[in-house]
Amino acid sequence: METERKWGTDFSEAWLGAQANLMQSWADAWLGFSKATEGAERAKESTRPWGTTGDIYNQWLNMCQEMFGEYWKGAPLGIDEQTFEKTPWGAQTYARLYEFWANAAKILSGTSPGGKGIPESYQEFCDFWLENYNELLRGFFTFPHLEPLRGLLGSAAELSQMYADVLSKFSGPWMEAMQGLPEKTAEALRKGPQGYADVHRWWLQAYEQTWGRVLRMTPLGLTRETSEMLQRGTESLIEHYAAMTDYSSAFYRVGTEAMQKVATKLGDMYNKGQAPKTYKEFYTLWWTTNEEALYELFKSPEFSRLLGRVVDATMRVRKRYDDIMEEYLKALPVPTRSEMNDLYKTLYLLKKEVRENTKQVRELEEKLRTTETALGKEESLKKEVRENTKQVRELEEKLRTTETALGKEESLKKEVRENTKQVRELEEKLRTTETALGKEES
Amino acid sequence: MRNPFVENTEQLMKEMTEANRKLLKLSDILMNLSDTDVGTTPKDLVYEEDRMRLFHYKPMMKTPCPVPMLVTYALVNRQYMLDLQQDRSLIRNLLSLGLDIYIIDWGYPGPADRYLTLDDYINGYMNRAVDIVRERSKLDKINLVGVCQGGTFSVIYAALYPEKLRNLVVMVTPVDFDTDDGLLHVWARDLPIDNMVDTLGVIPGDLMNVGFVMLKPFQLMVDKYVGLMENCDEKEVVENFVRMEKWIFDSPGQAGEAIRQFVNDLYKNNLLIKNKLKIGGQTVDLRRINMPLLNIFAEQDHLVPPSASKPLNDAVSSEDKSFFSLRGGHIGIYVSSQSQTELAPAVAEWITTRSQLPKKAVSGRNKKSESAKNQAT
Repeated sequence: METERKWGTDFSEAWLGAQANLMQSWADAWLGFSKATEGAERAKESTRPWGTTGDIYNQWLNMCQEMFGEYWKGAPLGIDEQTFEKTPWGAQTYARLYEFWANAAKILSGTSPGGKGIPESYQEFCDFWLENYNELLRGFFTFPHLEPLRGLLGSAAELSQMYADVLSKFSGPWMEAMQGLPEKTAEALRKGPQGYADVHRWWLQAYEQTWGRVLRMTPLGLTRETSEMLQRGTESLIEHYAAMTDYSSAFYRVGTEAMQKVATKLGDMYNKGQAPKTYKEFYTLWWTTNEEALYELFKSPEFSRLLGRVVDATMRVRKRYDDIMEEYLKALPVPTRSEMNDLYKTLYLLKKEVRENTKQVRELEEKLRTTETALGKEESLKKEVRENTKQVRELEEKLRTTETALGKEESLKKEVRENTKQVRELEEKLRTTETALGKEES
Repeated sequence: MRNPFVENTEQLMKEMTEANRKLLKLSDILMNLSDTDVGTTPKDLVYEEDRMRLFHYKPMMKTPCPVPMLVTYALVNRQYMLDLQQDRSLIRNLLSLGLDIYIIDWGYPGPADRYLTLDDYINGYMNRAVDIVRERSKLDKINLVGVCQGGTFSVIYAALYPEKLRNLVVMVTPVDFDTDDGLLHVWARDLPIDNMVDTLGVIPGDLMNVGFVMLKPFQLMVDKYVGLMENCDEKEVVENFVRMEKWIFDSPGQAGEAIRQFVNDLYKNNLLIKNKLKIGGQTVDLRRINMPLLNIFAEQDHLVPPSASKPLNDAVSSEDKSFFSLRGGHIGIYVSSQSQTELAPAVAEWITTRSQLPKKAVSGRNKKSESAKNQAT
């Protein structure tokens, strides 16, 4: 914490000192400017030399960039250079935009009072713009996953260097023998990006018919496999370069058109008395015009195909690069990507199988539980049946006993009935006898 | 040509002075940032499998909605966008309105995940997450809320397992991919995805970000940061900016086989809306979606244009289906003030009114156990 505080304090002091110096130089410049323009009519202000305020502004921007560039590097929060670059004082956009337009305006306004540039100045203006536009776009049109190749594929400018290297290594003698190349190159420079792309296509066509065939020649001998791999790598690099050239060319074209649109819009606004009053207003006009121009490019099927071609070519380079790397890594005791991919695939399939088996085991467990439940019920039923059978038997026994008892009862009853009958008969006889005796007595 | 901003020296001086002041202020704020956490609404981890994790947010009401909802986010970027900051959290709002919420965190695929397919994600992880929520809630059917690509997953899931879902809500979800309204749809047609997957395996998140930034390069790479300077006086604004910045560039890689099928079958061949998509050998027939459907889209969405989302309602057989549209773009649907004041209440009401259970409306399995319990007592 203490370190952080000290770091912040040191910076603040340095910053305040730098501000004081800047303000002093600004005040000096302002003083000089005021003297130079003293007595001038307001109407002539548009012809003011650019140097005075523009230089101060640039000085201020440079100071900001230097100061804050160093500042963020030492930040204890881990804020990196990118953080600084993303602020308007970063070198990439907001500040550079000011510099660019100040210089662009200088170039154009220096040509004629009406601002209509002569061809040479205009070319200078365009070159300046393209260089800056490329710088601006660099940040978001590179492929971060190709870190090892970033230097190779990062931007059109770097590609140009790469192209020159490839050229000198693989096709230098051929190029030297080519007649007319200097003229075509000069033409490309005159025409700008489009001309450059045209020359490139011409070159590629010639390459395909000559050196390209040599590079595709089937190698022989002990190093055949490695040679073939390197050949494929070079070939993919050339293809990638061709795609990137067309891709960059499309951006350059749009960039130039957008720049012209900004200038036209600005002119119209001036004529209508609606010129931007602040730098922010101008900046907004600038970025929205560029965004619209890029959107028009992006939504076209041609761009989509071009983008697809660039990505495809980039992937091929990457693939060849990986192949070459793997070839060299074979000698080292480390696993290669292909070997790891084999393991990953096995792992994936095993995991899937384990999951499937686990699922089946769970289903079987469920079935087992159901069966067990059913079995439990069966046992219970059997027990119940056994119990019932026992009870039935007992009841049958009781029934039999009862029946026997009943049988005896019936026999007794019969006997009783028989006896009763006999008693009644005897009683009848007795009565009859008594009656007869009575009569006799009487 | 005249220089438009140098002529007015006084104005320029003002701008420089103001810029100086803001730069120092921003420096001070960036050095003392303390509260830039994201996804802070309390939640419990209830299930995990490989990279996937299933969380359950702690309900904010004593008796929340009886039917829980499971949120499925995209594989691209992270699900905490729905809970980015306390005062702009769709999740927090929905909880406060009485919903019971689970959410899937897909995690960060590593090199070993390059072979994961859409089948693994939908029939595997997602289906198991749904089953976990069903088990925990003791319900046969739950509510499913899919967001962006997660919405497409949810639509596919709903067509495969309609018997497990009570309601379906999709937000900024592409279903009909044959549209020229979004650059992604245009570019995807020529994207050599096979070559990309064969070469890279897992497609790096940074590479995906290059594509997203390219959609609006000047706005996303230049003006956004200029805008930060404009508003850097307030610490809270900078903190919110940092949170959003974190989310934008916190991009997981994409499992190779899954994104291969997603681009080829959906973006290039548009099989989903044609009822011809196959997942794990099963044909995805959108007409099998018969549960109530709420389809939410953003009117100025440059990533998932309305023309890609709206056809869903005509493709399903649900009788109860409706749209909800928001002004603004793709990101605004999660964090805009309209999202907090209009979307959250609308979603909560829609779900709540369709999640009322009859008494004892518990799952078949649970019915039996309750019945057994009653017998025992």
